[in-house]
Amino acid sequence: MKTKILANLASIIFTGYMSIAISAPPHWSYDEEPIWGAIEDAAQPVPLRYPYAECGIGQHQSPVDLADASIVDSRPLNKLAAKYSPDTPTFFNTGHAIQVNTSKGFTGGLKVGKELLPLIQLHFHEPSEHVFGGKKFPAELHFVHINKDGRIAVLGVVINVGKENAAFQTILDNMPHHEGEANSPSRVRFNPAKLLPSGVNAANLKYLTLAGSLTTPPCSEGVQWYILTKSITISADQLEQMKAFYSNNARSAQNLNERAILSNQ
Amino acid sequence: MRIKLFLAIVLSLSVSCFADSEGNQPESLLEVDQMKNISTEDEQSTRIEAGKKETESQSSQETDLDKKSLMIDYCRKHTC
Repeated sequence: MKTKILANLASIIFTGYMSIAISAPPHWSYDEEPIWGAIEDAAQPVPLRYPYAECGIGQHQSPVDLADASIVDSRPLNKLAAKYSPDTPTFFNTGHAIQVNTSKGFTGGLKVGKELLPLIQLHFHEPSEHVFGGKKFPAELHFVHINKDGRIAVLGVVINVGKENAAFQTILDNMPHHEGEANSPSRVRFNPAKLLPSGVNAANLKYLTLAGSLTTPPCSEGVQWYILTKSITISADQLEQMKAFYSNNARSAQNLNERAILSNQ
Repeated sequence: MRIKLFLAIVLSLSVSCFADSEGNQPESLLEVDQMKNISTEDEQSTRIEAGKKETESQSSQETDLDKKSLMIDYCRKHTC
């Protein structure tokens, strides 16, 4: 009887472990960026064996070199408004970037025209992912929004070195140092709006927009990018603090493939 | 994968085994009954169609919710 119970328990534990091992996506790193599309998940049958294939074969990939694109400013575009408010978020070390996840009850988001896309998380890349004429900026902030049918809109903000940013310091001070660790519940009040450029009208932002993708595997396309034309600053010391977490976690610029960038400036 | 294939084959065989088949009866005795059966079947098909539409609408809403919740969950756990 005891043997049977132990055998059943062992098989349950083994099955649970295997299901986790099998269902976890394959590991990737920025060192492997040129071959993300070829990373193999040997546990999957052939059609699913390359879960990051879109990184290699996608035609609308992000980030891009903004100088390469023809910027069209003649078409009327949706009004863009960042409707962010104070929250008690989770500070999460993803293993690839420092990230802030909004709480489940957070109602803030990005209003595109009449549609509000809820803000799910924000994270940072060093150096910037979007470049201009090959020039990289010190860092880049991505606000990630997901609407009711699962589509993603990312608001990108370039970061330069200059005046210290208090909201960014809050993130640095509360961010766990190890991969996979989360500071939750953080009991820290944090307003994502404080990471927007000063002097801009958050209710009517000036932006560039193009169709792109996630900048990390699986590089899924169908992401609408909104890149603000104004930047924010963090101090040189804050940049070093960020690099102590993750540095060079930026994907290189991808081919535009005749995409145009629209602007409401 | 093999288990899924096996289950799919078993399911399709069981559906075909339970499909309706027409019996043999003398035509002259059935005319009135056949008319009644046809109108009853029409009512049933109308109800089935309405039920299908409601189910499709519900499953479409559920699919939208599933997509959103999957993406949200993914982007909370990973650097999207």
